[in-house]
Amino acid sequence: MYGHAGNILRVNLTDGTHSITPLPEDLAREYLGGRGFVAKLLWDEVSSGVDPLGPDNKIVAAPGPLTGVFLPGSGKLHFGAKSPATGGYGDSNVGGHISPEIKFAGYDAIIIEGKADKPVYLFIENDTIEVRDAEKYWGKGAIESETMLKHDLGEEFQIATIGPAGENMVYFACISHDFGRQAGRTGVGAVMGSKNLKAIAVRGTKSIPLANPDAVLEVGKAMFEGCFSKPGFEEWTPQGTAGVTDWVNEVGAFPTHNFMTSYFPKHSQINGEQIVNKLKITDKGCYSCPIPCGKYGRAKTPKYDVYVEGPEYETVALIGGNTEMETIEDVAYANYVCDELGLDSISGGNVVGFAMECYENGVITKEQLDGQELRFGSVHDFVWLCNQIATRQGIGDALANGVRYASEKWGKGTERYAIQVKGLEWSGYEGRYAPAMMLSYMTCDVGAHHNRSWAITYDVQAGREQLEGKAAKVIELQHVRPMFDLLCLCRLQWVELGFELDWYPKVFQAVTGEEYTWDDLMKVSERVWNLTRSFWVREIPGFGRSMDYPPARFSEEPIPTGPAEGKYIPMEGLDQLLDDYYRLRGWDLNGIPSTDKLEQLNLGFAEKVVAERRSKGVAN
Amino acid sequence: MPISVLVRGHTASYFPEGKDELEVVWSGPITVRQLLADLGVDSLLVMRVNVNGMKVTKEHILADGDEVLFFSPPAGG
Repeated sequence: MYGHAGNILRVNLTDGTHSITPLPEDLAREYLGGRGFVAKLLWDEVSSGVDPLGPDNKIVAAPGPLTGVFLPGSGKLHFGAKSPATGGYGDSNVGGHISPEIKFAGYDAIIIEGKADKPVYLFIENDTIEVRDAEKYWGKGAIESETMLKHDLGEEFQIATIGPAGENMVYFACISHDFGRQAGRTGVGAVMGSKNLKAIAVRGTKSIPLANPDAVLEVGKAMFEGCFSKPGFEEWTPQGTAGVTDWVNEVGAFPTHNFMTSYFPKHSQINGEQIVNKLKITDKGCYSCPIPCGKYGRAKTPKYDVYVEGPEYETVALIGGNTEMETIEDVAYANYVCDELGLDSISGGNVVGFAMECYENGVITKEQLDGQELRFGSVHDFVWLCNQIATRQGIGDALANGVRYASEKWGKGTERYAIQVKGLEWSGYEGRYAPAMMLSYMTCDVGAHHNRSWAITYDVQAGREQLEGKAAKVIELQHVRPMFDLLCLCRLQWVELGFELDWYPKVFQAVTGEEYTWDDLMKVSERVWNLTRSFWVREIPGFGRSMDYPPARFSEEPIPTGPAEGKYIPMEGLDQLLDDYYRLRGWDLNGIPSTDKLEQLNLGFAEKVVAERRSKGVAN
Repeated sequence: MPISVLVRGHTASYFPEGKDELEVVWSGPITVRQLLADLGVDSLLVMRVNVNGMKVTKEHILADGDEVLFFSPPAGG
């Protein structure tokens, strides 16, 4: 099979064995790679009802068919596991350079199962696979341990690690790579920690078979030239994604004070311009990237002096706005602490904001914190709490399980402060005055995450109050954007430069020799979306519509300040959005995929499970 | 008065026919904001505007032969 390395590597950490099997052709044909492989392999490999942090959960790491090829942004890797944060389907992707290295080592997917009886790391050098002792790295920070492994193994190895948060199975622990990039969401780092797996080190020197090397070279060159010639190409890179900070405030969608409001008056102190002026040393890109979005810099004040990649927009939003940091240096320092501890900075900022609001309202007291305070705007308090969480000390133990768990444990109305869907903390776009964006979060297949459907500009263009037509746009985006995750390409060339989508079927054919139209690619994306939805149905008793609602704050509390003042979406509006969405997806009114839809997408195997849930009355 | 319009990024999909390069003709003075309204694009969708390589506000008055570059807000991250 062209474009693929042709092998799946399976590693059992319980007994230290491994096996290599051929990549099934039907898996490649129907799921393409990356997120598609993760979704299908988790469905097949993870038995229903397993403990996400038990030995029976599995981690899948998968590059895609275009990974490592001479194309813009061909360096993405997908990690997935049953999520400890949500109990449902979980995946998260990371850039950097490890994905091509896995392909060059000869693998299209790595399945990691079982549990080691002591800390280990997975060593992969082409056909040499070893489960090695990791005692000396255990307890070290994510970046520190990556540095140590690079030192011990050689610069040419690509390393993915977890920090103390992953070791302690914090539900929002991430997998870190390339000194500051993360597969951040859904707690994939906690699953690594649950298996005593500190790191994955990979070195590969093989080549990737291409159907038509000349065509790949020609199309790849044209794609790079296409990027470089886009209007304003050179002006995108300097600030990276944080360049959107002012705009999100202007439209009234910036998470502020634990999502109490959607406008941060001091946003210009933590925006992309401040990153350029006060932090940035250099741009930092991933494998084969023409528009490096990473900003490597230094945050230096009398209280700290750290080097850090970032902050990118999501970190600016969740650490900056949501906990009200007033300087970009403080945001960067908190970012660094999260990175080293191995905490997802999105959930991290959300969880700390939740705790700060609990403190502000007396649910948590200074006495309970041994004299420590939790004040909005205090980087000292932020960092203190992150360390408590990562080591599960004091109130950090409950918060380590995320805001849903902590609010259920603490009660006293704190569920109103828990800004999450399905157990995953909300990321950087407030939705009370953006119905399509709100629906995107409500229906995202890993919980409240923005990247499947970034629909806020559609809200602006089509009407901020309007509900009609929003569901169709969200579904369109939920197929287009995750298509990049199937191929494991970065989508920023399309999103930021306006790179034309019709390039992708062309290049897919040049690499794989398979003729897929754009509609064919969208069909695969829809198949995967319905499979991940079925995974939720399989794993969560009673799963359905009730899990697609946002927290009550968004349907009951008008935004108090800023450009979106007074706006919110009442329950009847949310119901209208969901009714439209389910109908257009071919799901029932409880949000369960119909028999016809699943069979139409060649998901008959999932239909059997969903039908069983239906017959027991737990699915609809 | 001919004006060249270039759009960088995903916002181009909201411009006429989804194009990221347009030539428009206008009679008399027009601001950037008026130009966007005439093209049917909400001015909030444009994060930044350059005219002939220089950053300007949306109240900037365009001149004959100007090249206007609209920047989309970056998405995600």
